[in-house]
Amino acid sequence: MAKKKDDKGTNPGLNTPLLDELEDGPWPSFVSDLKQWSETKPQVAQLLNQLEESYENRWNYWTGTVLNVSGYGGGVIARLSEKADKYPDLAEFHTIRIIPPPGFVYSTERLRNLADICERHGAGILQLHGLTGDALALGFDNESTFAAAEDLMANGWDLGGSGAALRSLQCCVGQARCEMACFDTMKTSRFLTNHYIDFLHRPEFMYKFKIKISGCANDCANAMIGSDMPIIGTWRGPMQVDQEKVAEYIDEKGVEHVIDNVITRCPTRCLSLKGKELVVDDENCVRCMHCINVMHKALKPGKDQGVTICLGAKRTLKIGDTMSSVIVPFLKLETDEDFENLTDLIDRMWEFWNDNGMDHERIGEFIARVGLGTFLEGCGIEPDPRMVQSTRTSPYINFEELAPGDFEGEREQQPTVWNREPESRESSS
Amino acid sequence: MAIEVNGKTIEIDEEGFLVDREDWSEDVSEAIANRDGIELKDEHMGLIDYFRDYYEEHQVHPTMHVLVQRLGGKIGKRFHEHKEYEKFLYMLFPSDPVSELCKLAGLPKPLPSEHDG
Ligand code: SF4
Ligand code: SF4
Repeated sequence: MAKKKDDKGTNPGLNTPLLDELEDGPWPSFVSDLKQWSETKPQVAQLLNQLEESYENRWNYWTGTVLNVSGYGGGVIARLSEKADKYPDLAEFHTIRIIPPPGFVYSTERLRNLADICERHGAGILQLHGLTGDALALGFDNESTFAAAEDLMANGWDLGGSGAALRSLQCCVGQARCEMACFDTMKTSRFLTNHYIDFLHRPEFMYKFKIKISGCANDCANAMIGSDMPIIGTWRGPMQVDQEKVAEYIDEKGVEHVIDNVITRCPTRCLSLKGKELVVDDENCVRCMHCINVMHKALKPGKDQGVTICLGAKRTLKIGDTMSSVIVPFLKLETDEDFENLTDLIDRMWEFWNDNGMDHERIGEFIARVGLGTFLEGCGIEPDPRMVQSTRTSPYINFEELAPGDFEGEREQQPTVWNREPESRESSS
Repeated sequence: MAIEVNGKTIEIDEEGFLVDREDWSEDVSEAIANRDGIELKDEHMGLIDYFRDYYEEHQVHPTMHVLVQRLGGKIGKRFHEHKEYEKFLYMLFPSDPVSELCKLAGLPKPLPSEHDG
């Protein structure tokens, strides 16, 4: 646990007043952990001292280089310290990315095995898990990187992705532990990792590509903001409602509680109460999971389950930060054929992006540049009204006026805009 | 560091890249390959020529993307089948095909690629 602020640790080689601030407070502190560890591994003391200097001078003293394990195009993040004169053990201080088990479900035996290997060859610092989805092991020099990689592989581990490659997949625990899960996230993650393992180990894309997998819209794998291609569990048709449990819930919490916390918080206002019966307007439900999370005994996702596939989240590079948006509203993901469909879709999207993308262009930026229409046509995907960038913002047009006749009753006259010939794609690009 | 080629001393850095790129010749290439444990055959030489030509034209070395796209072409029906060409490249140069080819073609050492999260 965190030590007191004025406890400078017992390692006399440490002088880290700024870092000590980070030991304050009730939460765990990486500074306390590393201080303790620096008594075993001298390079960790140097690491802390260099970080202290970084904080003091507001400057990063790490630079990168290339280091690859034979046969791999990535997986090692080679880092050199610019302050190697002062901190000789940081001269080479590389990170190895390791593919974790799906859902991050380790047995303690495997976790010990991983920790032992990392301690044997490197600084023995593990980060579980980075935003990359990998287990990160820190502090290897050139020699020990190769030795550690060999040891890892002999023990059944494999290196993760880095550079312009498919990155290590990440998924929530899904059906293994969670009643909300609409599909087998761990199976999907393992299947895609094995199927595309060459793309993970050997970079050749325009830029990185991340797939993250969540069993439902609660998105515990952070897919919608953190991956180029989120695969999110959802369902078709009505959700499962157990009216007896609804009534029990109302008796227990009171009707006001249900109205305040469930009915009025449905984003599409599709819930209502009829006495103690919950009425769901399933056509307007957007499967956000809110009501199910609150009344988890009474409500469940519907029976016809599958996934929604989205595209495009990324941090700022060519365009600003983006979240993903829907590309395939519903896909079954149960049989071998379903999985074949999924890889077929991924193949087509990768091919179009890689044939036409620019250097360092993420797939979301590529779509922003060429337009969604072009992208869909290039990948052979049908356009769908559910492919929206951002929902429920005020449109500048009155949709009913422009919509075809059968949308909102019969139109009285043909609106001019609707008749306009669409511009041909060639002339506009 | 240095290697002897045909009685001439050629300076290389610790990884084997030429210090002076003007020193390049096929024999030099072969000597560096020997040092890295690679026996140069026609396939290797063809790729080394491709790297030199490409660099001449673009002032930048070909990336793995360029190699699998242009040289691998469209192998098979599905996108992932073009990985076969990459496998072939790794068979020829197991350590790191692009970096090794730059070295053997007498090009500058490739810069580190983006390795951010
Ligand atoms: S994303 Fe949904 S299914 Fe996955 S762990 Fe979270 S709540 Fe459960
Ligand atoms: S899942 Fe979300 S959108 Fe659907 S009924 Fe519940 S709260 Fe409303």
